[in-house]
Amino acid sequence: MSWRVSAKIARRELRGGLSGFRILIACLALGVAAIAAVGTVRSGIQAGLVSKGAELLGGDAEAEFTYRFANQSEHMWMQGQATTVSQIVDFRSMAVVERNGKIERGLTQIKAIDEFYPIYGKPKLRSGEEFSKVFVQTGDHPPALMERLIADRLALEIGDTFKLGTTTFILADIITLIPDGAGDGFGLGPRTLVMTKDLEKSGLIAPGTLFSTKYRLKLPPDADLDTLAKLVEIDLSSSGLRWRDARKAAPGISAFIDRLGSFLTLVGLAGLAVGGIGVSSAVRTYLDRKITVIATLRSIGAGNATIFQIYFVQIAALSLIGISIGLIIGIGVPIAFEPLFTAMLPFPITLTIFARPIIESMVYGALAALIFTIWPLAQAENVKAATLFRDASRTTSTLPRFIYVLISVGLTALMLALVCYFIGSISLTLWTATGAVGALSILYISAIATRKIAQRVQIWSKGRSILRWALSAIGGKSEGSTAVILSIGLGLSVLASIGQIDGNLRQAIKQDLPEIAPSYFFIDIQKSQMPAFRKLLNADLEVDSFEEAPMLRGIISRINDQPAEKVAGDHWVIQGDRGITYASIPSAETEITSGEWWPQDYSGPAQISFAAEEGEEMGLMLGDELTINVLGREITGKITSFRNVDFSTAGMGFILAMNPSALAGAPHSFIATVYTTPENEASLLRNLAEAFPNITAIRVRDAIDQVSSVLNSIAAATSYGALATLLTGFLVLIGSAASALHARRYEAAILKTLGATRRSIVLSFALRAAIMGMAAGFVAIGAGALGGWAVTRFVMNTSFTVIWPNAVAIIFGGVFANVLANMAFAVRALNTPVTQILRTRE
Amino acid sequence: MGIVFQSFHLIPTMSALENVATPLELAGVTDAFKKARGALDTVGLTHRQDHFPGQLSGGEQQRVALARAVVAQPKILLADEPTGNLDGINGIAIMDLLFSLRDQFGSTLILVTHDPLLANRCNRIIRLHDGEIDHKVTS
Repeated sequence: MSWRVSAKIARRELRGGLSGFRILIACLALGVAAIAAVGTVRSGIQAGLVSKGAELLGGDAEAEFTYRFANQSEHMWMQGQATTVSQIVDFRSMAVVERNGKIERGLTQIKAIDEFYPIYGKPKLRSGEEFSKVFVQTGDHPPALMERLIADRLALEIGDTFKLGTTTFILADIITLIPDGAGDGFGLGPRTLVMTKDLEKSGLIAPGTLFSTKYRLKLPPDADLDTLAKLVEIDLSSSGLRWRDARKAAPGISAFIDRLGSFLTLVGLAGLAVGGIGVSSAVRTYLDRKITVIATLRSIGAGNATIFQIYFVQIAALSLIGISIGLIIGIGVPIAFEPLFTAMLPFPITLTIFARPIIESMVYGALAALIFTIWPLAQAENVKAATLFRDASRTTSTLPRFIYVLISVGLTALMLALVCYFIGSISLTLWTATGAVGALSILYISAIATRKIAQRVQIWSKGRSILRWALSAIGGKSEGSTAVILSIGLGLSVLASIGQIDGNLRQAIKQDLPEIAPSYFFIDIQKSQMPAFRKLLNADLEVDSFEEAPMLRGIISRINDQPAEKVAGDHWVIQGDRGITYASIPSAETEITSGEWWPQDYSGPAQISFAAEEGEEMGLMLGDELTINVLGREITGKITSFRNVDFSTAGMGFILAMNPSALAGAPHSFIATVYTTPENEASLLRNLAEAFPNITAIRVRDAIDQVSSVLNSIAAATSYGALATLLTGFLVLIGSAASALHARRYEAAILKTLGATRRSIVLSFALRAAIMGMAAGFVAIGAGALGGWAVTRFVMNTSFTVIWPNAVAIIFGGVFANVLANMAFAVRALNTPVTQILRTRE
Repeated sequence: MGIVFQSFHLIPTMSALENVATPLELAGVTDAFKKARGALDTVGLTHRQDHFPGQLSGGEQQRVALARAVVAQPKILLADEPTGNLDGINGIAIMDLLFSLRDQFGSTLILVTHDPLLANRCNRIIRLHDGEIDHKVTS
């Protein structure tokens, strides 16, 4: 039997129109659209980052040094490679304004530039003035530019003066676009731009201050970035610099977008799974309606394969329509809204038609359609020609042939493998898949349980006919309670999980932290300032306590003389520089888990006390040797103890602590955390800042607010994904309500002839929808809490509590959605005349 | 084997001609539509060949079903109460057609019916009573 003939018969069959398939098409379209949209935006951002790489980085390549400037030989090396080298100094400081005897301070990220800045890109100023003309000093004070946020916070107008350290600057203009701004990464506080030479007398860039220098290189056109990167490894391997080039100008953003994209794709896939249930039940309903035709085809000579092919071709054609609509929406909408994205996002985005999201979403859509339709399609084979002889059985609900079971399993495995490939994380995919399968299993069991319970409790509903009708409908097979509970339940489970994760994260940040977190972090306190600093804090009665520690920054470059990445992979501790402290004796809170702290007057070879949890993750043992690059100098030390470090309190936590003599001579500053009452925060800051103009205060609450705002945008993006899932779930509900319309009409007609009022019939229909919605909602809460617990406990490492308002909202959502979907059809069922239904019923 | 049902069971989305041609297409016959036209001509429905089942009367639908049953020239024709859903005149016409088609194609006709007059037109009668052959009245 050829596919050609099957396709011909299928085409004739499709003349019947798309009725009954709208839900199938809509479910697939929505799922594919969500995934395609996420993919298009992700590719758009990545394309933007690549095309504007040099602009974002501020050069073709960049060498970054922590705490120090490049030395002469490093300078010479860079000059040898580049046609232009531009130097940027980056650090945090306080901008101070004195006005009518009152002093105002604002935390700002200083970007100190030279005359070559910017090599690429064009900064924009509010006045429209040329950037190059702004930094010409005309008056007594050197000029500076500020971002609007910090200027507004300090109520500064163009022409006003402010201090950075001990130097007074004049605000020359407001900078509205910093071309290399997004490449700078996460900064605390809006930026102020000054010339590095003007900072010389400010006292801000003292040895040991927390600053970094970035050298942006403009390379000759024929320069090869790969060769250069290798050359850096050979020539400058011991300098501790961080090398980046324009191909990966913003690795932080790129990685973040990739992760968020993967997460949203998974949310989209959950939507597709919910839609899959709708697709499956649409196909089942359609084939049930076609039983006579299938039997007729059998009676005129169609075999198993032919029957399968005829309906496969039809479903494939309809799925293709759904997938195409999804692709058009998923790709078209982001492109249409490009101006909005450009305005909203702090980094470049180039939206166009990308191949990857098209392929990815098409493959997902096609596979989902296959997985969810192959089972009902295969069951069509079970229809016998004998069905056409009066009383023969009309059921298709027997198991399909073993080969189809095998194909279903194979397709699911293929889907998982592809998701792993596209997402790039096996564990994330498998955990999500396990979650989805677990949720579906629980929902399936709950659906059966709901039916059984409904059957059992019917006997207690004597005399309450509305309730009894509802219970008997749920308990019976014809109502399709299983499909309803599965579809609505899975959609709600996804939503509940996201709600629980989001709620717990917010709770962890908003509620838990402030009770134990310090009010301020002070950084860049010079060693000579420490006695006076301590004295001032001790004199302030409102200060509960404070902690202080010397701090340097260094990069772990080698572990047991092997490159660190070889031993610890991509662990975050070896990505970039880490704070290092030293102490002769452990503090009172230090909890040594294994090994021993060095003796108080120890001055032998360097010893290291390492954070226990991170050490275990990196596979470190007592006796292992670490080489740390501090300010360009390599220090090798042995791990002699592990200790617990708790980062969740926002207090001081150092991964690395060393014996004092190991770091002797390295210039460094101190950091301090101060715990005080919220009312005292302002006056404490005033006193400390007046006494020590060079130190920088970071208000912990501000930092938390900034992290919260990032989380808010992630939560918002996730909500859009979840919304698509919910919408799909609702479509599935409408589909299942629509397919039950025929049965409802008949039921309503019979009940009316028996004397039931319209009100009681509507109430009974509403009641059964509410009961099923509630059952699905309860399961969703369980599944959501389980998913939320797993993510908060194992991924985010925070404690978990059920967020009840979210949970209750889920139950109400389930009830509301199901009642709404059903009521539209209940009214239609009731409005059909009784005689019309009972006469046409076979 | 060709089957004729009491309630016709034509495929509603196919025209009369397509309904008759489908068994031939399924059997891989190359000139399916030509033969189908011939079969429709035999039952006198050439002028209705492009109509869909919903546009045909009961008698016409059963004639299309007859054409479909005989188009592949089956050795056996099974007819299950073929006149059960038709009025008297249409019923007689269909039966005349059925018997003439049997003779034309040389098929064995197995007819299921409650009508003794119709049964008497057959060569052999097997009576069933509660699903079992009633030997006393079988001739």
